[in-house]
Amino acid sequence: MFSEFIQLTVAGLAVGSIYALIALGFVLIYTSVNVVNFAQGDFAMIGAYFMVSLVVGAHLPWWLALIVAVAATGAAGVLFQLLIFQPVRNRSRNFLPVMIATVGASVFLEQLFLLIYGPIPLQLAPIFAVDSVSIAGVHVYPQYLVIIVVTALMVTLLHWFMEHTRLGKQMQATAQDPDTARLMGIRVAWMAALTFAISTALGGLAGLLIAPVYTVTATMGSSIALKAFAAAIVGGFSSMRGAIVGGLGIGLIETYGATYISGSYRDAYPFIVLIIFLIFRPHGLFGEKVSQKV
Amino acid sequence: MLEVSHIEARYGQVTALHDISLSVREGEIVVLLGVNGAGKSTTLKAISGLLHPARGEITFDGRRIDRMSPETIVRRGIAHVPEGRHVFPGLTVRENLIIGASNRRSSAAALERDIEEILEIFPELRRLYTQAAWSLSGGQQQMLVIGRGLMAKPRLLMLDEPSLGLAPVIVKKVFNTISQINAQGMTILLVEQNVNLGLKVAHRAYLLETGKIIRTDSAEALRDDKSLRNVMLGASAPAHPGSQTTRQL
Amino acid sequence: MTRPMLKFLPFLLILVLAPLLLPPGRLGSYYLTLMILSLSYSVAALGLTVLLGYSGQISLAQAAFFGIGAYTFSLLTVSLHAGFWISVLAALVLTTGFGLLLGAISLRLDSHYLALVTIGFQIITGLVLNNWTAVTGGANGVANIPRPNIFGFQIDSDLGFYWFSVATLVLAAYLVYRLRHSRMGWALLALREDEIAAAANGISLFWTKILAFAASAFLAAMGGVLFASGALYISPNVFDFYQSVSFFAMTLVGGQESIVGTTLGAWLITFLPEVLRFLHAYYIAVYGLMVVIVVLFMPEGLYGMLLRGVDLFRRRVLGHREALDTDAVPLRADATQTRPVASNTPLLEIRDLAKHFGGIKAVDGISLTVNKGDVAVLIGPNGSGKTTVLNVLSGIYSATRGSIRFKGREITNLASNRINRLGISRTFQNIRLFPEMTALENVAVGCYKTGTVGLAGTLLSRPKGYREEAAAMEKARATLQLLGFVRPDMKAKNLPYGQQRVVEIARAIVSDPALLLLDEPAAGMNHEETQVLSQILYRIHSLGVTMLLIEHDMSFVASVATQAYVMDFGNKISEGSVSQVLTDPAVMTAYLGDEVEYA
Repeated sequence: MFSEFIQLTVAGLAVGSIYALIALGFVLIYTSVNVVNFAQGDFAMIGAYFMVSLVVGAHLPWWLALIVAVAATGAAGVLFQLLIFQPVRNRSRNFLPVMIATVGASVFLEQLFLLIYGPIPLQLAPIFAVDSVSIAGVHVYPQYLVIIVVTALMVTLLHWFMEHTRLGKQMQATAQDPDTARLMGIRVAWMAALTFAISTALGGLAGLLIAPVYTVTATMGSSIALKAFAAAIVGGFSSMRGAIVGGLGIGLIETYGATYISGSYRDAYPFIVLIIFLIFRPHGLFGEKVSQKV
Repeated sequence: MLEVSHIEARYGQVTALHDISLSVREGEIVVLLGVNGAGKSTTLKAISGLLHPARGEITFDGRRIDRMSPETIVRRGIAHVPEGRHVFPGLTVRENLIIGASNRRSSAAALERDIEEILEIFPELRRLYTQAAWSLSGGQQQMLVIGRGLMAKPRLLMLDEPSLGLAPVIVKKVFNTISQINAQGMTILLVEQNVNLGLKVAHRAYLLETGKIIRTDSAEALRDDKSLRNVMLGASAPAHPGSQTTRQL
Repeated sequence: MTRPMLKFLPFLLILVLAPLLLPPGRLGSYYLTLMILSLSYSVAALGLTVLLGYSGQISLAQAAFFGIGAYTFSLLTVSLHAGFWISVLAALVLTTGFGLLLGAISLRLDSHYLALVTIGFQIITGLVLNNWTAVTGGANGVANIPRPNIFGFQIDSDLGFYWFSVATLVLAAYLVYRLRHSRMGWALLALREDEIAAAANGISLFWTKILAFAASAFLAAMGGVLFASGALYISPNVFDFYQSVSFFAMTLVGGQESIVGTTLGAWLITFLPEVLRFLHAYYIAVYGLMVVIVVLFMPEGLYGMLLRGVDLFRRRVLGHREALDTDAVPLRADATQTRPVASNTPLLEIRDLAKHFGGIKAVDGISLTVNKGDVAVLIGPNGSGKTTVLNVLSGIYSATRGSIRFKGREITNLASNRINRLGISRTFQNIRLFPEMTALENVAVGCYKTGTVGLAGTLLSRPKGYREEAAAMEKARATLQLLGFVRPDMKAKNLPYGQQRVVEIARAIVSDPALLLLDEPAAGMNHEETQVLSQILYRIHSLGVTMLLIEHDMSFVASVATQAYVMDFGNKISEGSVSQVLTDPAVMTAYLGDEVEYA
C-alpha cells in the first residue's frame, strides 16, 4: 500500500515534470509577447520524433542525440516564430488572430509529422535498459527518475540563465517593457527569437523524455500541452515558480486520481482541477490580478 | 552635435509635429517648453527612433539617424529617458542599471565601476540597490531611470519631464543633479512643462505650440519674459464664445 | 420578410434546387448525404458566427455542444422512445444549459484562458461520451435514430430530409440575422470591439457573454439533432476536438461575421476531403494551413474577399460610384442659444475620494461638487490624477476610499454599466469607439440601455422590437445631425480623428444623460476644430446636460466652463471660476514651478 503510494508519487512527479517543462514554455512566451502559443505542445512531439530519428535512425549515443534533438527543436521554434507568429503579430493589433493562427499551425504541424512518420506509434527505448530500480525497497521505473533529475537540472540551468546572466536580464527587461528595452539598445527581435528558442527547446526536451514512457505519435504533444496549459494557469501564468508547482501538482493529481478514483477519466482530472481553480481562484497560485489601463 | 531639420511626424491620422527644426551643441542643456500636446515628447521620440518622421532629417555628428532603429541610435550615443519613469518593475535597481548598459560591450569589472559612478551621483540608490524597482517611490524611480540612461554612456542625454508627478523637494534634487551631470560635460536635451524650472537649468530653450516651434532664445532672455506665462497657460489665443464659426469639423 | 433579407433569396434558391443537379445513381446519393452533412454543420457553425464573429469570444468546444445535442436527441428517441419533437426540445434546452454554464465560467476569464477552458470542456465531453457506456453506448454509439415526422407526414427519403435540413438552416439563419440586427446584436458587437466602452454604455458584459454562449450552444444543438437524424447513427468520434477545429475553420474560412460566408465555409470544408482525396487522411493539415492563411491574408474570409472583388469590379469596370453625401450641414453658432444657468442643486458630490495604485497615490482625498447645470472643468498638470478621478467616477476603477453621490444616491464602486444606466455618460481620452461598426451604429449602441425588448421579443420579431430599433436609429441620426456630423454610414475606424471625437460625444449624449464626463475632448485638435467643439458643447449644455470635463487647452476651458477645479498631486488645490483659478498663486506654482525657490 505504502510502496504503491511511493511509486505513484514518483510517477506523478515525473509526469508533472513534463507538464512543468512545457508550462514553463507557455509562461516564457506569454510574459514576453502576451500571447499564448497553442502550438507549444507540438514541439514536444517534434522533439520526440527528432530523438527517435537520431537514436534509432542515426544510431547516435543517447546523450548526443538528446542535445542535438533539443537544439533542433529550438531551431524549429525560431522558424515557427519567424514564419507564422511574427507575421500575424505584425498584422494585427488584436491577440485573437494570433492565437487562432497558432491553433491552425498546431493542427498543421501534427498532420505534417503524421504524414512524414506515418500513423504507427514509434517506440523509443528508455535511457537505462533496466525495468526497475529498487530504492529503499520500493521498485521504481528508472526513466521516471531520469525525467525528474533532468528536469531539475534544466530548471536550475534556466533559473541561473534568467537571474545571473546579462542576456537573461535583457530578456526579462524586454518582456516587462519592450519599448524602453529598445531605448536601452536591446535587440528586441532577437530577444523574441531567443524566447521562442528556449521555450520550444524545453518542450522538445519534455517530449523526448516522456517518449519511452508513452509512445511517439503525432498527437502526443497536444494532449500533454493541454494539461501543461492547465498547470500554467493553476500556477498563475506569469511566474516560472507557478508553472513548476502547477505542473507537478497536476501530474500528481492525475496519477493519484487514475489509480484511486477511475482510470478511464485520467485525462479529465487536470481539467476538473483547472475549472475549480478558475471558479475560485482565477488568478492562480502565484498570479496577480491585472486590470486593463484606460 | 544634433541637428533636427524640418521634421514632420504623425500618429496614425494625427499630425503631431509640423516642421520642427532645432539644434543642440556639445555641452549645452537645451530645454523644450510647451503645453501638453505641443509635441515635445514626440520630438524626443523622433530623435531616439521610436517614431520615424514622415519628412525632414535628423543628423547626429553629421550623420543621418532618422531612419535608424532605437537600438542603433542608442549605440551611436543618444540615450532617451522617456516620460513616466519606465523602470523595469520586476528587476532590481542594480539590474536596471546593468540593463542601461545594453548598448555597449564592457567587462564585468568595468560595469561595476560604471555602476559605482552612478551611485556616487545618486547616493540614495545605494540603499535600495537590491530592491525591486516597482517598490521604489516616484522620486527614487526617476533617479533610477536617469542613472540608467547615464549607464549607456551617451554623449547626448534626453530627459522627458523628469519633474512629472514629483513633490517639489524631490524635483529640486533631480534638477540639481541634472545641472551637476551637465557640469561634468554631459550634453542634455530636456523636455519640461515646468517653465521656471526648465529655464533655471537650461542654456537655451525652444518654445513649442501645436507641433511647431514658435520661439527660440537663450534661457536668460526668456526668464525675464512675462508673456511666456500666457503661452504656457494656453491663454495666447482666447476663443470667443459666440463667434461666427461656420466651419465644419 | 423584410427587404434586407431578400438578399438571401438567391442563396436559398441554389440550396433548394441543388439536389436536382446531382448525377443519378450511387454517386448522386453519396453527394446528397454529404450535402445533408454540410447543412447540419452549417447550422452549428452559425453558432460560432454569433460567438466568434459577433461577440469575439473564442470557443473550441462547438463539437461538444453539437455532440451533446445529437446524443440527447438520439438517446431520448432510441433508448426512451420519446417523441421526435419533444426530444428535439430537450436536446436544445439541455445543450443551451451547458452553454450557459460555460458562459458563466468564461466571464471570469480573459480570452486566452477561455480557449483552454473550452478545449477542456470538449475533452471532458468526449471522455464522458466514450466511457459512460451504460447510457451513451460507449464507442459503439447509438443507431436507428428516427427521421422527423411533420403533421403526420413522415420524412424518410434523403431528398425529403435534405429539404427539411434546408428549412432548419433557414430558421437558424433567420434567428442569427434577427439577433445581429437587434439591440442585442449591437451589444454583442460592442463587446467584441471594446469591453470598457461597452460597459460605459450600459451594456452588461455578464449577460451579453452569457447570451453569446447560450445562442452558440443552441445552434450547435440544432445542428447536432440534424446530424443525428440525418446520419441515423452517431458515435463519439464524430464529436472530438478535431471536429471543433473544423467548425472553427468553417466559420473563419467562410467569413466569421457573415451568415452566407459561414454556410459557404461549412460546405467548402465538408467537400474539401472529396477534392483532396490524394491527400488521404491528411486533409486536416490543410485545414490547419487554411486557418493560418486566412488569418494572415484574408481576415474577412472567402465570402468577404468575394464581396470585395464584386465591389471592386463594379467600381473599376462598371464605373459605379458610391453616392457620397458631401452636403455638409454646417454647424453654426447660434447666438440665441440659451445656456442653462447653474443651480445650487448638487448633482454629483465627491467626498474625500482616493485611489491608490500600490504605493502611488494617484488621487488622495479629493472632494468636489458639481451642481446641476454646471460645466465644471478639472484642470491640473500632467500626472495630477484627473483621469483617475474620472475613471473612478465612471466605475472603471474602484475607489480606495471616499464616497461618490449622484442625485443624492451613493454610487461608489458600482459597476460601469450600472453607473451609466443611472445617467452618467462619458468619453475617453484616447477615443474608444467600436472601430468596425459604422458611426450610426456606434451612436445607436448608446441607446442600448433604453431598449426594453428582450431576447424572446427579438427572435419572435415582436413589432415593438422593430419600433424601438427604428426609434434608436432615428435618435442616433438626429443626435449626429445635431452635432453637425454628416457621414453616419462610415465605419468608425475610417473617420478622421476630429470626427471620431464627435461620434463619441454623440454616443455619450444620445441617451439623454444627466451628467456627461469628457476626458480631454480637445486633445489633438487644431484651433478651428477646437472652436467647433466648443460650439458642440454649448449645444449639449443648452439641452440641459451637466458636464464635468478634463482639459488642458486653457482658452477652450475659459470659453466653455462655468466652474473650475484644479488638481495637483492627487489633491484639489484650487476652485472657483476659470479666471479666478488661473490667477491663483497656487495654480501658478503648480503649472510654472515654484518661483520663490527657483527664481
